[in-house]
Amino acid sequence: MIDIHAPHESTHTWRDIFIHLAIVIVGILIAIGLEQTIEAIHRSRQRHQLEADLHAEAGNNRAIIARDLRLQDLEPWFEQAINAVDAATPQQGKIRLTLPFAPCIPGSVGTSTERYFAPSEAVWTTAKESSLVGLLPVEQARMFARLSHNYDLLGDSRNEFYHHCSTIAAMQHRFARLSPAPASTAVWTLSPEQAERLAQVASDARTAIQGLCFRLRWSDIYEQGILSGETRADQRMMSMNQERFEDNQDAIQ
Amino acid sequence: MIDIHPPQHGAITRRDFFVHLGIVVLGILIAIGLEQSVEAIHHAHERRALIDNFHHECADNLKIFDSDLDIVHRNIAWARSSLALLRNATPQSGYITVTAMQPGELSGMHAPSRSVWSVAKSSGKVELLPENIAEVFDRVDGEGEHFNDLIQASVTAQQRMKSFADRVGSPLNKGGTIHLTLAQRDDAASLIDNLLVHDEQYRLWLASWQGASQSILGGVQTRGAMDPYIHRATVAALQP
Repeated sequence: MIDIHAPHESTHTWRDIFIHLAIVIVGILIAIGLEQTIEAIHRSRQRHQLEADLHAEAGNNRAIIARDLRLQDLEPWFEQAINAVDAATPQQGKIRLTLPFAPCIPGSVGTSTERYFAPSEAVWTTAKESSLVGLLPVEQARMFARLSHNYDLLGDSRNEFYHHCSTIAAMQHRFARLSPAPASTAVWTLSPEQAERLAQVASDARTAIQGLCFRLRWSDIYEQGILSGETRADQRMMSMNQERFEDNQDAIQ
Repeated sequence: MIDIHPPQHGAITRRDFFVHLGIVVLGILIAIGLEQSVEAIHHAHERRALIDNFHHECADNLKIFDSDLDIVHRNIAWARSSLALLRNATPQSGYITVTAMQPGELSGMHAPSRSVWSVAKSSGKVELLPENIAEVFDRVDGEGEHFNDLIQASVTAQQRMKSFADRVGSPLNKGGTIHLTLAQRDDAASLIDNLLVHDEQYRLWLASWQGASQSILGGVQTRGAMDPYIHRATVAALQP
């Protein structure tokens, strides 16, 4: 005969308690470990996605920069304006110049065919705002920080050209009239002082284009470096021969 | 035959319940404590990495400061000698002729890096630093910010020089002999003077930034302790 009795006292011994405790601790640690693993995988994915986005943006920016560099094609107009003023002789106190329409559209930089379009910094800016930049290795982050600084300076160069171009557009509106022939030209009627001012602004605008293009070329070097996985920005840029960029009047990266 | 007796008390007593609850609570507290310890070790590692990275950036920047200050010194010397030449030139038939203006050179200047602090701020890692160290690092970055604020104004001054040279057909910073009307002389002097002011500001802020960076490598712990380093670097930069 089997005689079964319910226990008369609690079954919890110290050994039971420690076993129970260990099970709880291990269970929680496993849960935390799993959560951290998932977090690490998520961060790794975020980092790879960020790197891929930054690379894609660099590729797109190189195409934009190549297009922006066509702003150099605007330089001849400014050269022509300067030469026309220098060669002009006042008649009855006025100077008359026949020039093609100035390549300056108010509110824009450039013309409908050669127009400045700012390279994008959206990915880097978003990464900074969302604290994702901390996922990048220091050297890689430095490349992007330097590029971002370069784009700040590019924006300033763009504004410089915009300012001079707006002045020329305003002067054209004030002093120029459509020329009957040849087509797409305007006849400017200026006092010698006004003509001198036109030449000076044209010279400033041409220099500003050169500064803008210089900055664009530097930006392109950084974008190239990003695409090729370069991380030694400081050493590379400091040892680079800047003469390759010509007109390097503003050679600070 | 099986003889089964009913238990003399409930299956789980109040004591059992509290013992069980105590075990679970204790277990959770121990697990959280372990997790926080790991987290604290991780934060300490990140803090160490941030401090090391900042130190490395400061050390790397020192080379750039030397190079940039050398260029700025040459630019200042060129601007001063050019101004003296222009002012001392004797007009003849409404023109002045000056020669031997030594070339100035801005080409090759390179902005020191500020990326570590910038990224740390964006990613929230600055919170890992003790207040005093964060203040010290922030001051270094502030000196760099002052320097960066000068760049565009200096670039504009350079561009005006180039634009002027294009207008009068005489580059002012390429050496050789140039002929200027008196009005052009005054314009040139004004442009060079403007450039000189920018270069002197460059020199000042570069030196301040350099001193602040040196203080980091010297292991300063407070903002106030940075002052002697900055003062020394500024005085050294102002030496002819």
